[in-house]
Amino acid sequence: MRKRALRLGLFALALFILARTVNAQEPDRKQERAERIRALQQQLAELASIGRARVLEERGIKPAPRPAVKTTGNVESFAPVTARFVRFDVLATVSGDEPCLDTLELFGPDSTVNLTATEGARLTASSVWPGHLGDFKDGKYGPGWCWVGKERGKGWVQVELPAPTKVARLVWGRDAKNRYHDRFATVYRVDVSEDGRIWQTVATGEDRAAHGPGPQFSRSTLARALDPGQRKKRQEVLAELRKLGVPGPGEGKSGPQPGEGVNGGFLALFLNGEHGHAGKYRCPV
Amino acid sequence: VDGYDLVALIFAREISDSLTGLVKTIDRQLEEANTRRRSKDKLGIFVVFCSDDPSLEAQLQKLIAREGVKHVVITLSRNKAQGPPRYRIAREAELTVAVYNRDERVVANFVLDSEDLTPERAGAILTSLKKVLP
Repeated sequence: MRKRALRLGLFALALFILARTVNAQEPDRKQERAERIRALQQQLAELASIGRARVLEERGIKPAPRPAVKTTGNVESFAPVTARFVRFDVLATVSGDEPCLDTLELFGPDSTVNLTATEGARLTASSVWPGHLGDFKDGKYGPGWCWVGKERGKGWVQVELPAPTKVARLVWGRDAKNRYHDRFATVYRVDVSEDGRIWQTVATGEDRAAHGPGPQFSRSTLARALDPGQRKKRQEVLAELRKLGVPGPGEGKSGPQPGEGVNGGFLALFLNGEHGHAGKYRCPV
Repeated sequence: VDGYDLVALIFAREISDSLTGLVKTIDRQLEEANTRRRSKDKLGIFVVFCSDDPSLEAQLQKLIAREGVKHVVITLSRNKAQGPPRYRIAREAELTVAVYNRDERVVANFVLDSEDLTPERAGAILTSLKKVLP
């Protein structure tokens, strides 16, 4: 009897240890699966990007040398030039509203010192929205700095340095925290001057892609532009994703589901058919 | 719709070789089924194109003439790319197929990219249709 109880006890202990080992491995497996899914989705995105480049090329659409402006931050690099005044001139905003900036950093060649925030630098603007005078900080640039102009869709803000200095880069953005997507400049130029009278344009947004998603193509159009090997690879990636329980990008829930009845009428233009409906709007259900 | 008994709705975004092949196969099956059935009401399989592409209507007219599609009814949704709202066609979905039984209840639903309409997956759709066709 005691032997049997001992055996049972040992068996229960073994089960307990086994269960703990399995549980300890569970997070690893979950993480492994999540990492694999991410890697596969990344492969799909890369293949789609190759397909997109080919479709654009086939259709004679040249991609812009620089990406579209971002609300979070943009870099304007230009040949080093000596300037005392650097002006960011907004010529149009995405929303047509008064322009807004929360970042305006100026750098010399190969330097990480933000000249806008150095002692003696002064900020002026074509106008300042009354509610934002506090953020404008009496012409000084610092934490929490923000400029909103008073003119709809245009306006400029200018950095006046204490002395002529070599500059080569301007970083600007509307909202570094990516909360607001209005008021940012879509058409702009960066002008520099040594004396505030003669100006030279050193950068514009003309070489940037247009704001927005750009030409859109279906996933299948992008897939068809791939080489046979790449198409095969895409199918393999999709198959592995399905195996892992992740539907492909176009395989989510869509349309009437099993068990549902007719969802109601709708109109569609019939292009053929047997009852003289062709050329007419009819309800197919 | 007058004169049709609903069998399936196929919501598509664009013409592709794989979809054309599927439509042609279904068209042949429908011809045979309609002959067997001998009813004045025809079996209705509708391809509803949901697209903003203004050139699609002309492309579809050419396709109908070229491929001689007679029994599958090719249509263009009035709601364009959105598709009929009550049918909840996902913006991401390139191809959505709903197969109905005689009680007009959905018995199968397929969602896939037209590029992924492989012979195997087209076969699965055709098998579902065969089950509801007389």
